[in-house]
Amino acid sequence: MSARHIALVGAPNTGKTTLYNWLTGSRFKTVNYPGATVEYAIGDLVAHLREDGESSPFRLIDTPGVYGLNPKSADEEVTVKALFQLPGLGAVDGVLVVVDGTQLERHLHLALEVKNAGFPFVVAVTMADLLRREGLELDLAALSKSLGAPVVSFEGLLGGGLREIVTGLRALPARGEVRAPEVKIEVAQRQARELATLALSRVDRPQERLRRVTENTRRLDAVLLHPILGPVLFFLIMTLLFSSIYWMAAPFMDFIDGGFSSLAAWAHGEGEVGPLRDFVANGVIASFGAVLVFVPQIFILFIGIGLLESTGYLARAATLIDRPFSKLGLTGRSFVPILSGFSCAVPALIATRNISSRRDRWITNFVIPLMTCSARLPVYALLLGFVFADQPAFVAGLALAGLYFGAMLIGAVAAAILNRLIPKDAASILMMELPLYRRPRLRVVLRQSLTRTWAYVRRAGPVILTIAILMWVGTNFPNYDMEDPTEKLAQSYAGRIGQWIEPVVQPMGVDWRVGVGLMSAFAAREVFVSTMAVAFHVTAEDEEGQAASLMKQMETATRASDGAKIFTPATVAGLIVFFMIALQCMTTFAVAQRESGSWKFAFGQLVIFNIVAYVLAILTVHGLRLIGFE
Amino acid sequence: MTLNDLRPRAATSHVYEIEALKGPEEVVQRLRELGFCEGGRLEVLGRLPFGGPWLVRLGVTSFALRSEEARCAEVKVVA
Repeated sequence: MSARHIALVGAPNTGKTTLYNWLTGSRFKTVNYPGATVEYAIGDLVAHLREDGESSPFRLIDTPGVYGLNPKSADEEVTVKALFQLPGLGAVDGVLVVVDGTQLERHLHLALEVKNAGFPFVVAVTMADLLRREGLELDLAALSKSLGAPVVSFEGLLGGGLREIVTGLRALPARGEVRAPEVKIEVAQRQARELATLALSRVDRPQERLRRVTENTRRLDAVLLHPILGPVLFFLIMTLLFSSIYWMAAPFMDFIDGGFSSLAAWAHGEGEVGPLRDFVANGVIASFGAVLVFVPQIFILFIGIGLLESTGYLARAATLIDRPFSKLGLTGRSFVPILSGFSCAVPALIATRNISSRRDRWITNFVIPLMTCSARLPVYALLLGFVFADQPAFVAGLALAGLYFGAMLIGAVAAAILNRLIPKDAASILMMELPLYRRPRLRVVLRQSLTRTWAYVRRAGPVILTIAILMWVGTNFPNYDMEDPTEKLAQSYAGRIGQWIEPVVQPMGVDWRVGVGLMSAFAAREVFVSTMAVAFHVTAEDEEGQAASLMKQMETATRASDGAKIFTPATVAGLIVFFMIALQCMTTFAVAQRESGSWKFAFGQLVIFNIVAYVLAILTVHGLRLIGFE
Repeated sequence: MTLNDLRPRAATSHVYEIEALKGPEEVVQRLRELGFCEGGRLEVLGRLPFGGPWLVRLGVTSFALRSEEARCAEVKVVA
């Protein structure tokens, strides 16, 4: 017999993904924010829950959280589609309804809707540990009898109740016809309330005990959502998050930088060497070193966002920001996608499915690529490190935090413009549940951050290698043996192409070498740094770290045409402005097209962002020169 | 009187009962799915400044509601 398809369905924050992870043995992170499961995941039952020698009896499907089976936002649509129209399969064979044991009154109507639709189902009641601590013994047998389906208590921390759930799923009857549920919400609500009262009938003063479960959350919210303290703390938390990327990463970066320098020196060896050694040391190792040195910063950013996600603070942050966002045509619900845009625009664009209003979602998707994604971090770190080389590390850290807030400001301006241009249609909605605060599970956050960082490295790796080969060949040939490095570069293939496009970058105050760097950044933004390392001829012979060596090269680089310095505060500011706005990531372009379902949207974004970036970069350089900066 | 008509500071010391849910169909349906219903007991935890969201508790769960959403809940003082 082939495996039966079982969908896990439940309201947001019920512990559905935790249960899914226990059942399948997978390591998806659990997030304490409505709308964390954005696509559905499919997995087999973990081996130790199967019978001897058995192949998986089920295919388990985790779905985005829903409050009902009447879809209103894109992620709710994903869930309803998973239930009724699984590709190639039709409807699922059974449903595992996950309800929060502290929220029975509010969550049981979902079980009633699933029943009404005609699915065989099992109910898992989560938060068993919390309930037990407060002496809340639920009458699950009565609940099960009343619902006509197995009801099992589940404990997320240790996985108590798994076997009973699997037994219940094995015994599910074959599915008959299914249809969209035809139950009125008022009726289902009343029934759910009766069921909840029934389940709590043996508990003395149940409401009072349930309240005690929420005691800590209430105290924390009195501070974190305080009308004055709340916004102040929000601002401080965000500043801490973004500035820590710089100062916390510094020692690790020095370590990696030193390591790559030694590696390059070792690969290069002493004295005159052949092209191969030269290529490995000055082409490949230098390129990887230039980019990988920024991995600690990316890792720390992922940890910071992960911690905020798992505590439950993000729902508060969304609430705090709702009022200002609503002035820009966004909603508090736009906040989490925009924040994840600071690690990568791709998952961020998918996360906007949680926004129910089409218009809100459209505007949010439009501004997401403006956020400082992790691929921009190496570029900013290099440019800021260069400008603030003589200052203590926290100055560059603050400047970086400034760039993050700057990205938000640019995003706000873009959103405000769109908000004026696009006519308003249906109501925009916030209406958000504020989940209980939970202690972040450090191990999960660390593991998740490592996975995401590794994914970044793996994605960037081949691009860096390809560009490294192209750049090394491009800058060393056809005159490999030429003595004068400057002349050699100028006569090389890359030099010729660069000089051909130089008129385009000249208004930005830079020369063709930076132009080549900007071109390569369209393969991946971070490649800008490694291209610069090769174009400015950072070699293995340098004693100090390679990052320091690149900055030294930048310090002394001059334009061939007039002998003026290339990297001045004005031109570096221009480059930063360019990178802040330009849409250089083709994956983002593809996902924006898919999520919006519109080529017009995706192309519009691509063209507008790059033109605006170019024009503003030029204005920045010349504006700064006008007021006396170099 | 709707939830949105209350004075945030003064409202925190009372308990309210929802008398009716009225307003745009889409908003009311969503409120119901979140668990808002006639007869439900509401506490007001506060409101964010400059006309920001209301913070309310229904049973054991806290919610943030925009003023457009709070306007859909007609309430009366019960304690």
